[in-house]
Order: sequence, then structure tokens, then C-alpha cells
Amino acid sequence: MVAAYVVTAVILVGYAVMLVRRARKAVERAARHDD
Amino acid sequence: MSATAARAYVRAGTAITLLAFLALAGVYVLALKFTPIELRQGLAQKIFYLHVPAAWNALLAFSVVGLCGGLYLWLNDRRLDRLAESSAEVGVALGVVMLTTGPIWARPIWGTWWTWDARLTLTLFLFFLFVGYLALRAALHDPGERARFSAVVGVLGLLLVPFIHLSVYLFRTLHPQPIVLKPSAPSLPPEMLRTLLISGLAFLVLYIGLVTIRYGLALAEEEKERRLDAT
Repeated sequence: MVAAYVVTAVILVGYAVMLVRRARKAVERAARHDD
Repeated sequence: MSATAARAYVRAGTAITLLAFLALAGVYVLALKFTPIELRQGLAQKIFYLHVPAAWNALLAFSVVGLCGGLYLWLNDRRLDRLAESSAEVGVALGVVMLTTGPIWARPIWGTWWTWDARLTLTLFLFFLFVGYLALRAALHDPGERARFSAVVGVLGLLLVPFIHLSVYLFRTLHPQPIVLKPSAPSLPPEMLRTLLISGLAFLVLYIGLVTIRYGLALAEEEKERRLDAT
């Protein structure tokens, strides 16, 4: 049971962190072009 | 202009996602400390408060991909394609949660990690179909072609969703019958139903937050593609 709770947290937090990093990088690149 | 809009989506999505993680932390406490232990399954039953909401929201995400795909083929609106792409990726992440927590529950209850029964097999195929959807998008460089081809795959995936829900009625299957999404009243004690529904809501807010961030990313990437096309 504990394994399921840990695995869920790792997958969801890991994906969210990776997604925010990707998105911020892409937005910075797009903003540089706008300038 | 699109960089400003993309930034706004990423910021709003990040705020919603943080809120969802706080709610999910509350669900962990509620499920582990304040929800009674089921008599027959014991502690393993508590996996259900993560597995079922993840499955509901993964199926919602895949349905959104199919609906947006169908509407895109009709209206040719780029926003629908962006939403479909975003929903597919978040759906795959939720699908990974669904497909890992399921076997962790099955091992003590069924005595096996996996069985090739209709519900499990169809769900696995649906997951692979949307992994294929993302691979197809990554392989196609022309935006119009990419949107059209992936919309067709999304619509095909949508056709599988009701079939998966009904598979426990159509086939002899080990998978438990629906306990909430069924014609009669939910067959759960009120404390367990409350925890399940709160968890479902927390996962829904998380889905919305992640899709909003991913939509901002799609906007920013479109800007990059437009720039490459112009040079």
C-alpha cells in the first residue's frame, strides 16, 4: 500500500516539475524572439 | 504576443497545479488516517483512493483528446489541436499512475501482478494508443498534417473509452465492477465514498493545472516553429 502512495507521488511530482521546466525554457526562448 | 500568452498559461497552470498538490496531500492524510480500513482487503484497499481517480481522469483526458480531434477535423481551429496534444500527454502521465497502482493492489488481492482480462488488456491498449499518438506528433513536422493525422488517432482512442467502461459487464473479468459510475446508488460506505470523491476532485484540478501548463508550452513551441518557417 505504501509503495502505491510513494510511486504515485513520484510520478506526478516528477512529471509536473519536468513539465514546468520545459514550459519555462520554451517561453523564455519565445520571449527572446519577441524582444 | 504569443510568448506573453504562453507565459500567462504556464503561470496560471503552475498555480492550479500547486493547489492540486496541496489538495492531494490532504487526500493522502484523509485516506491513510481518517478513512476506515476495509475488512476483507485490509490496507491494500486504500490504493483504490489513488488508482480509481487516476483512472477516471486518464479516461477523461483521452476523451478530451478524441473530442478535440473530432472538432478540429470539423472546425480546423489550432486551439483544439493544442488542447488535444496537452490532454494526451497529461493522460499518459495519469495512465502511468493507473497502470502502476493497479498491479500493486492486484498482487496481494488476486495473488498476481497482472492478468490478461478484458478490462486490463483494453486499458493497456488504450494507453499504448496514446503513447503512439504522442510519437506520431513528434514524428510529423508539418503542423497541419500533424494536427489532422493525430486528430484521427485521437477519435479512434475515444471510441475505446466507453467500451473499456462497459468491459466489466460485457466479459467475464476479475476486475471489480463500477462502484460509483453505475445506474444504481454508489455501493460504498459514506466515509470511503467521501474520500474517493475528494480524491477524484483533487486529481481533476491536477489534470486542469497540468493541461494549462502544457497548453502554454504548446503555444511557445508553435512560436519557435513559426520562426523556423520564416527563416
